[in-house]
Amino acid sequence: MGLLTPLALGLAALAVPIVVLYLLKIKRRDRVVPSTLLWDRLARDVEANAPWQRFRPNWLLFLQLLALAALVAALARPFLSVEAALGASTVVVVDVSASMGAVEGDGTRLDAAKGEIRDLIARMPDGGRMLLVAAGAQGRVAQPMTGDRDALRDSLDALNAEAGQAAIADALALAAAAAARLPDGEIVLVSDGDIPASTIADLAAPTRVVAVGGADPLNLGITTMAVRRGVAGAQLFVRVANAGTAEREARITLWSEPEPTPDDPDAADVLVAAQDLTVPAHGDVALTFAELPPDASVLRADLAAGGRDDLTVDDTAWARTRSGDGARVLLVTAGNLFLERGLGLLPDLAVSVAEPGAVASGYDIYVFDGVAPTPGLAAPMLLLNPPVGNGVVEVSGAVETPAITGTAGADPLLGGVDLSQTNLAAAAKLVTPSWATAAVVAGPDPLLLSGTRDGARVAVLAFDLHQSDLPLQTAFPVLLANLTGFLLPETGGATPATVSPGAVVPLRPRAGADTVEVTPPGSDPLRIPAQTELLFADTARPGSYLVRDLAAETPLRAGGFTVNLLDAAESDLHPAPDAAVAGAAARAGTALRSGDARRFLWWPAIALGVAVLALEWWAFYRGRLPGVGRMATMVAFPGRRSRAGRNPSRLPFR
Amino acid sequence: MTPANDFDEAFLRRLERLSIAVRRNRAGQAVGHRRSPARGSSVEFADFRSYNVGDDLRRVDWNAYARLERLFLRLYHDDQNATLHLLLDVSASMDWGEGDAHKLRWARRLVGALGYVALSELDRVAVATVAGSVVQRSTVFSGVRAARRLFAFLNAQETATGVTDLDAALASYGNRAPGPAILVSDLLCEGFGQTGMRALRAGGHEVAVVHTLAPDELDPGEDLRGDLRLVDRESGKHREVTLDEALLARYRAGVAAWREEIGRACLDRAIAYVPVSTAEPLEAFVLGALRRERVVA
Repeated sequence: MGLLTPLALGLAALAVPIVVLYLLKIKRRDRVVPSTLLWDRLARDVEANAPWQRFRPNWLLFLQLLALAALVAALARPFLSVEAALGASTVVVVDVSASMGAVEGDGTRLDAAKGEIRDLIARMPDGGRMLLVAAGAQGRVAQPMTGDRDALRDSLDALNAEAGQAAIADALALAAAAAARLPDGEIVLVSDGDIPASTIADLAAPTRVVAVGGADPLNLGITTMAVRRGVAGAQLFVRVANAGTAEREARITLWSEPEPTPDDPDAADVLVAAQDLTVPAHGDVALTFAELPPDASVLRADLAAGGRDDLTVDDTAWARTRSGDGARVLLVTAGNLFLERGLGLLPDLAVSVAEPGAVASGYDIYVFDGVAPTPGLAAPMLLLNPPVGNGVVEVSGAVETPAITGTAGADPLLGGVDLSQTNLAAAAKLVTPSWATAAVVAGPDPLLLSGTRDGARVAVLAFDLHQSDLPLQTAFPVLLANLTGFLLPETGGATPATVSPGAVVPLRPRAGADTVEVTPPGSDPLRIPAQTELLFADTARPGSYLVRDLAAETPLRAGGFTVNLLDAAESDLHPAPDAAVAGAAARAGTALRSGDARRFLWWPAIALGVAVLALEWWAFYRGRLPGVGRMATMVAFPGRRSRAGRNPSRLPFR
Repeated sequence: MTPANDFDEAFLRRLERLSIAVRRNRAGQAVGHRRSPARGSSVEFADFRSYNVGDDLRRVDWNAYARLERLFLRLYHDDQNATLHLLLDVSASMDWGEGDAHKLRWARRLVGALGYVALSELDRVAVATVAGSVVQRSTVFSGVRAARRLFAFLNAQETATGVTDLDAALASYGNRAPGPAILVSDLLCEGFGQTGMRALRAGGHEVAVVHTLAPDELDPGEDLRGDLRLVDRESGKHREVTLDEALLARYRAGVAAWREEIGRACLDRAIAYVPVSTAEPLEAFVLGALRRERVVA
């Protein structure tokens, strides 16, 4: 309770003249009558002939002072610091990211958020409506706009914390779009995260942020887990982060999970390794596990923290040692050790070598080294040193000792590739076809072309590897990886090895497959008719997902991906700094946290004052004929009340 | 000012047929139309009584002596006149009212009418004006011819000053020849003069009171509203009131109760009490209410 203009309380001094007017006798008109004898019979109490009369408390004075008090109180603009009232239309965005599942006290942060929203539902004005948006991996409408409190509570109860990040910006955009169509629309965001100030400032609708989350969370989490394949074999890389303020002890255990098969769906996990570790405060520890079992397909790391751990979803992570059987590559060459070794080092590629003229079909990528491709072949192919009349690109001669003069820096083929130290002895002189662009040129002559020809991606390298020092440079394997990635994006890295929960995973079934079978962790396989490009979105549950391409129930390829939180921001349970959120709200021009709205009480005070004045008027004119002149007299001279007028019943007729 | 003899001929003729009602005959001083309690020499037989030595032998009933051999005297009624005492309140409170409803003028005409009735019946009429005391006494009028002087006396009366004290005035008037006494007053004084009325009764008078109040005393008009200081015409004392309908209703009820109270007090002492509003025409009042109350017959 506070007063906006406490100086107005000084007007309470008006009570003094009111009381004085009651003490003053009123001026009366003289009227001569034959005798006052009969009037004496009406009022025996003879008044003293003095300007003052004895103060007699009465109801009219009390009512007038009460009315004055109410009006003075109204002028002082009293207010209550209350939770901000809701408007007629409210869009509530609730964060259901992984960190909202952190245990605090008896419940999770999501439980606390639900409590806040239940308060909002309870404070919803009559006729008010609310829209509930859950901000998970995507923003989605959990409850369409309704005024039904029960439906809102039911939808709220059905919300669960997801295992990934929250797409707060998406959800806010969705909420803003909904609020913009509503009169008096307002957005309330309930979250534990750091909300970018610009995100809120850009919203058209007024936005309030209700922050949840305790001040001292304790959590250890796995923030990175990846398999690195080298010549010496696969290595597992794990990073454990501690967002707390104290050093923590923990043990990490590594398991090998068998792929689920129809024959043995419940095959036991195999322990691979275990290691104790100490994670410093506000720091992390990186671990590398080598000597992984050669037959291990899925690795799972379990983190057991010593002591309290508020968030469990980041204590387990999965990694696949390979994402699949790999793309099949046919290398047609008269003999090129560089290419064989280079392609063989790339992960997930099964390289076959064929003599020129013995080209088989059914491969994902064809690499023609110095030979013309099979006529009519419409498949991803890489041409090296194409001969004249190869049917794909026109060769008009040869270039002696070309010097690389330019590269297209933005071309993904050249990502991480440094060709500045590369020297060439000779190269074919190519004419850039219409379907291709040049990534590397030597003067007017293209050295590296790429494009899509007849629906298949084609890359052309204009020189023989033996005529350059490129294979001896570090740029060579990177360039090969980029080229295979370009030629077959679905195997070259577009299907990520690990994704966040809720993310959409592109699946590109192998040519000839009629069915894609996805086996989520702990679930029965899902069968999807094969299309050129599939998007798999049912990735809410963390774990390893097995993907098989089937042709007439025959597996063409087995691969998969893992779904992991692996997010240092989510593992850091510290609530967003108030300053950041406050800045966001200040820019949005709205109240920030619950509890800082002011409910002004001056309307009730004015209503009380007017009601008391009306009661006083009624009491004064009870039994009289009301007249405008009398009312004016009463307003101007509130003390003008005769004793008879104040309370006639107190004048017994004697 | 309306004179006291402002009567038309027809009303005077009707007045001449009236007489002042007297319940008990009293000895008079002169021959009149009223039977005296004393035995006299009229032609109307009254009674016998035994002869005593010294009685007038002319009144002995010799026929009775012849039959009974005892001496009886024949007694005859003695017709004498009566003296009507008319007491007119001329206090300042009587100077109130508009036009014919002015209390003093109305009362003066009533006194004139009553005096004319008495004079036409060969009664004697004595008029006195009272206020704080007896203000002025008239000579005793007798004979119809004295009516002119009676009216002249009444017309000369003006409002007195000072506070009304009917008790003192009536008490000092009481030692007159007993007879009917009619007080015409608004009774606006402490105790409404009942002590004085008792003194009149003790002096042998048959007392009647005509209580005159102006119509706006009975029911104050619309202009008497609001915050007022009421000033007493006689004493100058004032009373502060805020008049509204509720209070005026109480006032009217209070006046009615006051008149009832006076009526009861008069009834206890065999005093005729006739309340009247001066709005009522005098002729109707004399021929109506006064006859009903047997003040005149």
